[in-house]
Order: sequence, then C-alpha cells, then structure tokens
Amino acid sequence: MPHNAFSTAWVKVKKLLAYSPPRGPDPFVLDEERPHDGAEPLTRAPGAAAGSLEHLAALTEFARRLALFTDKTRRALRDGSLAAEARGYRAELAALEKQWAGLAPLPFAYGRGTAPADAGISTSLSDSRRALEGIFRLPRNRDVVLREIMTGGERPVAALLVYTEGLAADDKLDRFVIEPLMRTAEPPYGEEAMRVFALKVIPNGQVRPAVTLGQVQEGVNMGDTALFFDGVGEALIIETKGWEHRGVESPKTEQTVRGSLSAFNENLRVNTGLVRSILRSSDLVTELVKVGSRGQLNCALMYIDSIANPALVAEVKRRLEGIATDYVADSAELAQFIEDSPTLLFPQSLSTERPDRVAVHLAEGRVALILEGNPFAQILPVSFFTFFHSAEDFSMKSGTANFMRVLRLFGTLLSVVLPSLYLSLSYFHQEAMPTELLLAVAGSRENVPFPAWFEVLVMEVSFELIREAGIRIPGMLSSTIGIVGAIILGQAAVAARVVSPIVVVVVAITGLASFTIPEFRMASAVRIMRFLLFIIASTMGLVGLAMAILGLTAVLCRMKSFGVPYLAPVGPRNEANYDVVTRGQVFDQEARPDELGAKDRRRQPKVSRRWTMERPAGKGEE
Amino acid sequence: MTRRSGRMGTGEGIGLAFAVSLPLVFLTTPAYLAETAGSASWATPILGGVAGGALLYILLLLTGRYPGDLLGLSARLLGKAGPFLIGGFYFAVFFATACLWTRQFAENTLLTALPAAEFDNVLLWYGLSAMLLAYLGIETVGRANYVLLPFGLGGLALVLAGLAPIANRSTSRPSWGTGWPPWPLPPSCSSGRAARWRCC
Repeated sequence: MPHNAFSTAWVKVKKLLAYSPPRGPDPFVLDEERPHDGAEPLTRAPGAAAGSLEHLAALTEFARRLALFTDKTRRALRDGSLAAEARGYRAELAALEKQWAGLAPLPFAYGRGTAPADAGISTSLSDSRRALEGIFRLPRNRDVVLREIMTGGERPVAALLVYTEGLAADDKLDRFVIEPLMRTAEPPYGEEAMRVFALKVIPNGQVRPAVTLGQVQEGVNMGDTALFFDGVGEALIIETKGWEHRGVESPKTEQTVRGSLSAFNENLRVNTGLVRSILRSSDLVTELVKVGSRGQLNCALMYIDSIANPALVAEVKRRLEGIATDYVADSAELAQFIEDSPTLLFPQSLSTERPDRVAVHLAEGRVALILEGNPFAQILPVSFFTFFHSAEDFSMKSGTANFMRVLRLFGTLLSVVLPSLYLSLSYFHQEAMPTELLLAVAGSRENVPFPAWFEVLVMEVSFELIREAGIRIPGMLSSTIGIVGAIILGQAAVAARVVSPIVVVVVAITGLASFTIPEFRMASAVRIMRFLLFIIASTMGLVGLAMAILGLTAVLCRMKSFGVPYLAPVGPRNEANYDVVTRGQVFDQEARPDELGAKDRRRQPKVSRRWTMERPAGKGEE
Repeated sequence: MTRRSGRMGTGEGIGLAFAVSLPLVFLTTPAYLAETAGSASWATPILGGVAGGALLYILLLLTGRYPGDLLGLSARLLGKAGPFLIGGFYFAVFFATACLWTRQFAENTLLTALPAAEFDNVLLWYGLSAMLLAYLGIETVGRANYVLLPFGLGGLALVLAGLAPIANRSTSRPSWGTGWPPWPLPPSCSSGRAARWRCC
C-alpha cells in the first residue's frame, strides 16, 4: 500500500476499529490445574526404578564401609593390635551386620514403604544423612543444618550433627556438643555407645536417645541437636534450645489484646527462628535468595512444602531472582519489585511484624518473604479481605470477631465515602435529607463564607497534617499533638467561622473510621481514594459517587496478587473457606482458601472435635 | 478449585446480563414506543431481536471460518469497498447506540438526579467511566457487576420499599385494576371471574 495521507488515515481508522491491545508475555495466573495432586511425597523415591537406584546406592555404601573395615582389620592383624582393640572391632562388625540385615531386598522394600518419620535409624551415616535430607527438604531448606565432624582420639569416628539455625543456641552447641566431641580421647562403640557417650562425654542436663527418625525430627524442630555416629543405629537428642523469645520487642504497629506479643527484629535468622519456634514443622522450608547486586541482602522465602502450591513458590522465586537493582532497603520495597500491579495504590502483599501471623498464613498455603535487616515480613498472595482481618480474630469467639470485622468494614466504607456523601447531599440532593436535618446543616453553615467543598478540603488536609505530624514527632509529644490538633484546631476553626460544626463532625468521624483498618498501606490507599471520591462527588453528586464505586470495584476485580484474583473468593466466585468477610467457628475451618490451590486442601477433618463423638470420661460401659 | 482463571463464569454472565438489561428499565424509549406504536409496540423488540440475533449468527459463522479481524474479513468477502461499508456501518451503529444513549442517559441524569449539574460534566464522567471499563475488559466488568449486583438490587428494593406506602397497588395486576381486556379470555371469564377479581 502506498504511503500517503489517505493510507495513514486508513491505518489509523483500521487500528481504531479493530483495536487489539499490545501483546506481552502472558500474566501469571495461579492455575486451577494441580499437577501436584496425587504426587508422592518428596521423601520417597517415585517408582520402581528409583527404588532400585536407592537400593544400589545403599549397597554401594555398605560395600565401601565393608572394604574399609576389612582393610583396617587386616592392618590390625598385621601389627598385632587387634586383641587390644577387640571391643571396638566387634562393635563395628555388629553395626555392619545390622546394616546388611536391613539391606536384604524384602526388609529394604518394607522400609521404603514406611513413612520416613517411622523409619528406624540406620547404622550408616550416609543413609541417615540421605533420610534427613528428605525429611527436612534439604538443600532447599536453609534453616536446618547437617554438620559432619570427626571425634577426637586415636580411632576417630565420623559423627553427624543436625540442628535448626535460629532455634538452637550457638554457644550451647559449641560448648556442650561440638567441643566435647572433638576433645574426647576415646569415642565409644557399639550398642552401648550412645548411653556411655551421654554419661561420660556430653556435659548437658538433658540428653535422650532416639531410635526413629520421627523422634529426631521432633527434637530438631524443638531446637535440640541430634547426634548420629557412623555404625550406631540410634541417635542422641541433646538439649540446645535457644531461640529468641521475649527478649525481642512487642509489636509497634499491630498491637493486640490477645495473642503473641513478640515481633520480628532486624536479624534474619532470629526472624526465621521465631516463625519456626511457632510452626514446628519439618517441611517448613526457608530458602535464601540474594537480592540486590551491590547490597546482596538475603531474603528468606518461607513456605510449607507439603501445603504451598509449587507454581506459586516457583513464580515468587523467579520474580525475586529477576530483580536487577543495587540495593533493596525494605521488604515493602521488595514487594513493589515483584507484585503484579505496582502502580495501583492497593497493597498486594500483607505486611506484618508478627511471627504468629506469618505462621497462620504459611499454614494456609501462602508464602512469606523476610528480608535481612527488616522487621517486617511480606505474606503473599493475599485477597482484599485479608487486610481487614486482625491478628487476634481467632483469639476471640466468632461472634465477637465477626462484629469487629463488620465494624472494620463499615469503618472503611465510612472512611471512603462520608465526606463525599456529605458533599453530594449538600450540593445536589438536598431533597434526600430530612427537613430538620437540612435546616440544621443550613443553619450551621449560615455564617461560613466558604463553599462546602472548601470547608471539607481544609479540614481533611488539616487532619492529614495532624496525622503526619503525630507520626513524625517522637515520643509522648505525638499524642499531645493529636489532642491539640484535633480539639483546639477544630474548635478554633468553628469559632473563627472558617468551617461549620457539621464538617468538623464529618471529618472527625471519617478520621476515626480510617483508624479501624488494620493494615497501614491499605489505610493509606483508602485515604487517597477518599480524596478522589471527594472530587467526583463535588461535580457529580451521588451519581458520580456510584460511578466511582463501580470503577473502583472494577479495578479491584482486575487486580491480582501473585496470580490470585484480588477479590477472590467473591469475584471471581469460588469455593470459599469460612474465613473471608466473617469467620466461622474454629472447628468449622475445614478447608484452606481455594484460590491458593494448596497441595492439601483440607486443614482439618469434618469432625475436628472428636471428643464429641466419644463417651464422656467416667461414663464407661456398665 | 472451582475458579476458572481467564474464563467467563456464570457469575460474570449474570452480572453482564443485568448490566445490559437493567439500565434500559430507566430509559424513556419503551414508554415513548408504547405511546407511538400503541398495541403494536411489542413488534419492535421482537423484530429487532430476531434481526440482531441473525446478524450475530452470521458474524460468528464468518469469523469462525475466516480468521482475522472484521475489516480483513469484509475485505476478503466484499472486495476493497467492503471494509469501508462494514466499518462505516459499525461506526454508525456505535454512534447511534453508544453516543446517543449516553446523551439520553446524561439528559435523564440531569432530569432525575442532578438538576444542578453541568450537562458537559455529566457527559464527561460517563465518557471517562466507559473508557475505564472498556480498558479493564469485559471479564472485569462482568465480575464487578456481579459483585455489586446485590447492592444495586438491594438499593432498588429499598427504594421500592420506601415507595410502598404511596404505591397504587390496584394497577399491579390487570385483574385488580381496569381488568383483563375482553379478547384474551373466554366470554364466561370476562364477565364472571374478572368481575369478581375486580372487587378484591
């Protein structure tokens, strides 16, 4: 087609008539298809081929140990030291025999069929290590540490320590476990080895034996250290608990009457430890991702492996790794780098300084981000309704909690629309007010020389000034400023006839209502929205207000928080759990939020209070 | 999971159906039609609906068979003049329906809700809202309508409840008011039953 004015116009008309938006990569949508449904747990090998490989690896390991033992025995026979160390050799041989018995095809197959936690402890250190890597999702999980050391003495024995960083105290670990192990002159052998070791070597008040990996798992999750020896089919659980508790400060921005009173601080390991001290799950994974090319801060990505949607975890990790910037100072700043619609005012991740709140959301299938040097965690994905939940909602009875939730939503509604409603009624819809009220409003405005919109604007701006000044002024002065600003300024403004008393009332109620929103960033977004609606209502009255609310709802409907619709489960409608606007009884919380596509949809069985189905105590059968 | 991401669901469909049909209740067109066409006014929506349905069917048939946009399709089927004809037709339809209706809605808004507002302001706000909603897309609009539907219907119910004391209920059913017209009922009914209902 020749390039002239006509053709240009034609192309423009064609573009206008058949407009299609520019195509970019498809946005991330957390898909409903769940390929992980029915997948076997990671700790078990998938299929027969993997089983054979596992068996082969175990046999190879056994052959290696046997070869070492044979070599050692041959050398001892040659130099005549066998008789002197006969006890040690006998114990080692017994351990090898025990390992061989477990490697026969039938017991091995049965062993693979049992849950990892129920499995016994192998005499082979590498077998134990492999099993522990499966249980604690290593090496992805950076909280749990497996450390191999050699004991002291002439015949050193390989040992394996397992502990959780952040839960175990470093000084206890060094003083009561590692140092005695390395300094011991004669490490014990055989079946009695652990008992002897606990009696003679470990200077610790609480030491207990463990014979299954489940016991080890429980101890490690409690902050203790598990100690394995090569050739010994049991472990020692040594008390090394030492996570931060009550030394950390109470929350500043999320104060509650009930619930935990500890808050995050600037130390990443303390923060992950605080979460782990509440949620003692072996498959709680903490992955560390470096953020910022120059700052190189660690960002902990926490999730429960058996619950969180793998697509969500992979997407969050992809976004984190895709940040190319010098330095990220704050976790909320980090969230802006990775969220779906960073230009919109509404927050797309929940910011919290409370470890208990993080634990609750992780248990629902969400992901938490904790940035090094920052006392706030970001929880994602979230829905609009999450921002109106409080940390103590489940500490109260459902009726009380629901009343508070409805009150918060009503407060939010008032905070958004009250000034606009006042302007609409006073400018465009006087007929909608009862005559007495209309006369009272008119009477109060009689001596004010400014239009109503100016009055509201002056008071709103004054209120925002007081609020901002209250935050910035340190210490006790902030509350004084608030009182002085609110009472004296309002009173003086009315006396000076700059504003009418009704406007003071409207702005005061609006300001008070805005404080009912628990999340600061959501409250800030609502404040900005209020000003937008204020402008629209000044020109279009209630019609404009209705149109603005429709537009606002449409924007919220379009938004996504990490692939999850922002208004889910209301728009789009999906199967809701009993904790959206209001919440049900604790024993009715059977399902996790549907929109998260969690691996395990069920949180608890239909009948979670099993005792109601049982015979009362003391009422045995006659 | 019951949500179908990226696909229109029943909820969105209901929202869109209400969004399209509910504002028409407040238009003066039906009243004007009844006034001018009298007892034949029923023919207009029926014939219009049949014609619109047939047009839609043909469009679906053609776009299913030939990929591409409407202008490319018309150029392929009707030659070089095709895009101008079809584009011009749809431009005219767009102006006739969207723009003129916007004007009518704006006029009605001034008459019923905002007598003190500027006509240009109202037009501007309607235009901006339409732009925003068009930008956000049909799925979002359907979803937003679905979310707001209970509030809208609740508001209407509230208005109706407020008007209930002054409502003339005798016009709610033909049998309560002027009675059934004589032609749809057999003679016995038109004399006996209808007369009895009229007394109720």
